[in-house]
Amino acid sequence: MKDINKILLLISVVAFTATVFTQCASQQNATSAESATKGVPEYVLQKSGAQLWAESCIRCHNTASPATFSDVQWDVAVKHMEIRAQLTRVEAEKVLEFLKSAN
Amino acid sequence: MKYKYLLSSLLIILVLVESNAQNQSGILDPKPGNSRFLLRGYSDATFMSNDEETTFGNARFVPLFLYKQSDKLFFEGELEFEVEDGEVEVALEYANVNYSIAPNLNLRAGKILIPFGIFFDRLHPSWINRLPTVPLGYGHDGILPTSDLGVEIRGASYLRGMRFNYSLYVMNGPRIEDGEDEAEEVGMIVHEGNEDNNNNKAIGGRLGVFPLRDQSLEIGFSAQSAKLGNRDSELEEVGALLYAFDWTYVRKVSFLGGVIDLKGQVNFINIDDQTYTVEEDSVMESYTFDNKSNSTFFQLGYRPTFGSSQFIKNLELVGRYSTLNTPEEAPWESESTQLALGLNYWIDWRTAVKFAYQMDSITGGHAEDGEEPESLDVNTFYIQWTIGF
Repeated sequence: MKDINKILLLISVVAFTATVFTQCASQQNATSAESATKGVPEYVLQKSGAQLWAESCIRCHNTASPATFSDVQWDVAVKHMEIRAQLTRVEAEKVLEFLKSAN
Repeated sequence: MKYKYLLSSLLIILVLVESNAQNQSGILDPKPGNSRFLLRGYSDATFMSNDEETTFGNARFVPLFLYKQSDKLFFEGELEFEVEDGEVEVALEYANVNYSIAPNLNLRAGKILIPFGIFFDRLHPSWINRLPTVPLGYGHDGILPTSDLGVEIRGASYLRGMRFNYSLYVMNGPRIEDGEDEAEEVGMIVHEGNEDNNNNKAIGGRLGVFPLRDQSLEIGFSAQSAKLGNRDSELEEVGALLYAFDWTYVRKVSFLGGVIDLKGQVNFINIDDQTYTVEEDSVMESYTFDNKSNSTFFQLGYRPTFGSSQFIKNLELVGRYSTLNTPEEAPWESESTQLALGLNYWIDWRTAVKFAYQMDSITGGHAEDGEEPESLDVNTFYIQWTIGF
């Protein structure tokens, strides 16, 4: 039973890795603009940066005012959240654009 | 040995794919002046009072260093300075370099917060955690993973219109307490070690899905597999399978006049069967037990946002119920429950004063035949001031 659990876990990891790498490799071959929006559902593309900012931040912490940081500081903070909070590239770019415009 | 080939192969593939992409677009582009440094972090001070003690328990200063060298390269590192029991303790919480391989695909290497569920990866900083304490099973002496050395790929994407996020990692992994130093903890999983104790590596990951388009609901599944014993010891082949389910639901609810924040996690730790022999008071004792532990937490927060009074809007009510069950017949056998009720006042979005009353009930200890395990009830009042910066 223990071996079966480990085998199932390993198969899941390998299958998932293969899927992610395949998808990302195809994105890497596209141009930068195409790559960021490829496969992104229409309902996400239609959301504003303000809406994504409100939806994303509050999952973990209170929502920051755009005035909290300068544009330069937001560059770093949003990149950090793209990695740590697992925002998609489209979400991060829209949120950053909104924060800079509202700053 | 298999990890060496696996990691080498992955890195070679990544380097080839990446160098090809850079040749085409010059995307790394670390021009002078493009790099960015940001100092963030948090600090807190806690007062606690119960039947045993009334004390300004501890204070922490936790600077977080962020460095964005380019759109591809990013560094995060967090130190923790803590004053506790009259001593200043310093710890490196995490320090890692991130390389963005492609949109929605990041590779991290270094000391990493382990994405086993949501609490430690996302919620542990005191300006994010809604209560002054952590749920049972977490923390530096907990039975759940915190941070470790290794590599991870992580990101988020969409599948058939549904948003998901993912993490996959290979870490040095936990070890098992063999009883030489702490006989009463023999068989316990230990996640924080100063050195890697074997050649086996922990493999794990987390997958989170967002069934609702407004991202208000996230459901996650995490798993980790590792061998625990010291190399060349009789426990070397003892393995552990950990898995967890977590959920987050945060939404403004008009008829409640505020935001509700529902979070939780259920954890299972299954360690292979093994007979442990330890020396206690110059006598060799043998322990055989079903080495399975579990822990849970369920948290509900409510913050009024639609009222007219700013004072009311700054308040937040929080309740958290948490459990921890360790193996029957183990020397460290216990059943613990914890109920924490809190009232927070948010001075701004990252600064709060938290008041909490926590009721802990612990039944534990390896009782001799015919004896009842010891029980302990502790009620503690906390005040914590926290600031994120």
